[in-house]
Amino acid sequence: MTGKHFAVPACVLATVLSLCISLVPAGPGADGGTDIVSVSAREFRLRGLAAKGLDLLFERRGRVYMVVSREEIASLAAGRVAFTFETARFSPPMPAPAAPAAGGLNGAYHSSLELETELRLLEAAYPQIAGVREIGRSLEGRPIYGLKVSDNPALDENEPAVLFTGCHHAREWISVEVPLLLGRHLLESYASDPAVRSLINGGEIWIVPLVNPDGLEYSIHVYRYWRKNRRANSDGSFGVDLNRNYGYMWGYDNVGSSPTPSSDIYRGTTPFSEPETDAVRRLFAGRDFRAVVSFHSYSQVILYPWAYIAQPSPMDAELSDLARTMSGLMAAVRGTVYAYGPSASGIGYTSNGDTTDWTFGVAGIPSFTIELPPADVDEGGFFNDEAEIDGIFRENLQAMLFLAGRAIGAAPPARLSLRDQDKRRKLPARFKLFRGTPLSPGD
Amino acid sequence: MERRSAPTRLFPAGLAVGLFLCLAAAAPAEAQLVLGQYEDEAPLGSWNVFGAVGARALGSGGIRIARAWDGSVSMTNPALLLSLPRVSAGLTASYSAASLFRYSLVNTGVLSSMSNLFVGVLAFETGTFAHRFGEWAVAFTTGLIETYSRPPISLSYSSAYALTMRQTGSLRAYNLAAARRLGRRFSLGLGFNVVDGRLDRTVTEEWPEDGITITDDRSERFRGAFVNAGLRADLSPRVGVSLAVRTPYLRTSAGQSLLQYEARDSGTDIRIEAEARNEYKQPWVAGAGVDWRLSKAWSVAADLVYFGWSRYSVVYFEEPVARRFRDVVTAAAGIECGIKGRLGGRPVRFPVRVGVTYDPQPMDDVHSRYLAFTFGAGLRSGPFAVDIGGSIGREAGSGNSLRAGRIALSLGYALDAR
Repeated sequence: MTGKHFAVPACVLATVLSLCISLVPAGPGADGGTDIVSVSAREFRLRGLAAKGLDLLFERRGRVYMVVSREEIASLAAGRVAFTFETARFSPPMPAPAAPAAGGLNGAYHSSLELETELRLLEAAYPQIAGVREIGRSLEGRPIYGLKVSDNPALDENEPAVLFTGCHHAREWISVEVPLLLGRHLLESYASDPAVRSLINGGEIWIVPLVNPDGLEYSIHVYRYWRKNRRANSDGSFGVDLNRNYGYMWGYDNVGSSPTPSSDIYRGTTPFSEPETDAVRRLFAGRDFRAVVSFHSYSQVILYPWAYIAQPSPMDAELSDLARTMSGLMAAVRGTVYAYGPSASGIGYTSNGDTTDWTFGVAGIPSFTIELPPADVDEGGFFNDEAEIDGIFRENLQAMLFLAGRAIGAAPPARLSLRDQDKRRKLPARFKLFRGTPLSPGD
Repeated sequence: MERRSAPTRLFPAGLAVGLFLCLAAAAPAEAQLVLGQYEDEAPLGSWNVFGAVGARALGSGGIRIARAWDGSVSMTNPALLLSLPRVSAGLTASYSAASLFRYSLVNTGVLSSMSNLFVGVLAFETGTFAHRFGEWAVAFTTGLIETYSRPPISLSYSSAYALTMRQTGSLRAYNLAAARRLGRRFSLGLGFNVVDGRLDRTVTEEWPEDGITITDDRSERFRGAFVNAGLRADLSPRVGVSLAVRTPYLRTSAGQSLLQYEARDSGTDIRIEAEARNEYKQPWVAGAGVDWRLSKAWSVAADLVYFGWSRYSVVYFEEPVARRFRDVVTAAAGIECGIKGRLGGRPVRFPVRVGVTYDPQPMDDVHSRYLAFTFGAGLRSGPFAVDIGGSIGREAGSGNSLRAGRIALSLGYALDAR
């Protein structure tokens, strides 16, 4: 069917769809790297997609359906072609992600203990490609776990790695679920999806779904809208904003973070003063991370450095391209549009000492903060309906696989040196204080 | 009237002073940080609850193992039922107040308070009926043994934001006990107890102008059953010693939770609802007491009670919840002086009581303890008695100087006093 499309009567559609099912195994990404997508017939013609060598299936009700590889999906997204994933419609439904430990006050969301149980179950089910590491402990002594998805998970093979983190902020429950489900998907798809298998064999995917377990427990048991960790501050207040406690441009100004302990954006007494951020720092320091995603909620945006200042980073164009592609992949799943842009301008305010400024600043790797749905407070704010968890994960899945593929498959990024940055833009005065300081992931 | 030497007359007062000094000297070292941070189930005032305390017992330091003041002793040491009149009945009402500094949303990060917050609870505390016949005695008692109220929170910023927090609840025990005399010196008692209660907690945040409301609503209905037993040995006509024990038991609750986000304008209504069987594994309790009748007018008594809190555990909405607790021993001592007189031409007796209680709390992180002074007085005329008792306690160890106090009024009826 390559190179042409045609209309089909409704009576034969079922037959064609049955053929699709036999041709394309279940679920996005679970089929050896192909999916069914649809594009409006108008856009199909305007974009000249017929000449792209895509594997067309049929045209129906003004949309053209086709089988595309993951590379073709990325190409469509990069070309801003509006397409929709249709695989799930034409194939047996994927089994809902099991959440054997979920329940209780927080419903289908995971508490610290439930998460540990789930990670241990995954490790036991996929011992060849999953390893659970305690990367540190919280202030109240709760373990902070990292799930390493890689072949030979017990070995440090110095492979290129990607890091996905969640729940720096306690009330953002959905940000635990998305990276956790990503880990589950990778493990479950390893046997059937060559693209996933290639990622896992060729690199390390690290998932730290819960950076702030103390805060999460407080959010579950005492106050749902708790944000920070549970540091008992000197003035009687509680909590440090973990996403203001990283070392790059920490305390750059008092707008993007606060020196006041009672503030919701209190940055702590020193960079990495909190064991939770220190755990991430230690994990990051010894490995060859090529990309980082820090999940948050809410706003439905993809953000990239800089956050501490409203100026473009030296890699602004590249990060923007990646974000645009990811946004396109997300929108294609079920139409959810994630806006994207530099953190400081994307969300309208600066923040200093955040995760992705640090990973980008010290390692020069693509670093994204993804603010998960909803888009605004009227749709739930920090609340997401339990029934939405899977949908939000699915609309992020392809984008995460794309980014991981780019990072693990790509050559090591040229580390951003201060000299490079100086060439590309005028640096703020505070930035220059770091000149001459060795910048490494351990900073 | 019997004349006594000065040293003999001063002995009870000296004993009371000595007891107080011993208890004060036994206070543990200062400790730190958080009191009851996550522990909504903490009884108001003190974790260490063993039975119910009427006005007479309260005024005498809360003595509940060494001596029987009324039928409510069946909830601690039922062996003492044999020391009560042939028929006795009593009712107690109380007002309890306590201050808290760190609880729920308060001073744990959400709301800060410059000083302690108080809450008071007025309650029908105990009702008891006891009957002694021959070598046997039986009693039925109901007692309010725990309350879970917290100082309510209600604050708002103009019409833009409002936050309220309410927590109320209590636990009532129903006790059926029997005792039997064993020979001339011993008596043994056994009680069967069921508990029933509830705890309700609601936190509501509203942004009225935006039409957004967040509700966190939880409730629990408690159930449980345990056995208590006591043994009394009369060493002499004036001195008796007692032992009492309460079995560990599983207090369960049917818990319900609703976490809801409502946005009026958009019609958003997100709910997370849960039901669970919660479990509170209550520790065993054992105590010993001594009762010394110095004369017809004066008597002293003291109790030591051990609470095995290190075995306390909680499963709350399907998850074990950490409670770092240690075993503790409480101590109490009281003295009573009965003054005879006439009122309206009728012979009456005016008992006056004082006591002291040392009450260390089980939290391992915070070695907090209450030291309380108690007082009471009564009027006894024929079969009728009215007593009032109170306690004033101050906490040390948390750094917050918490207070706890109670005042109780008991009405008693005793037929065929011994």
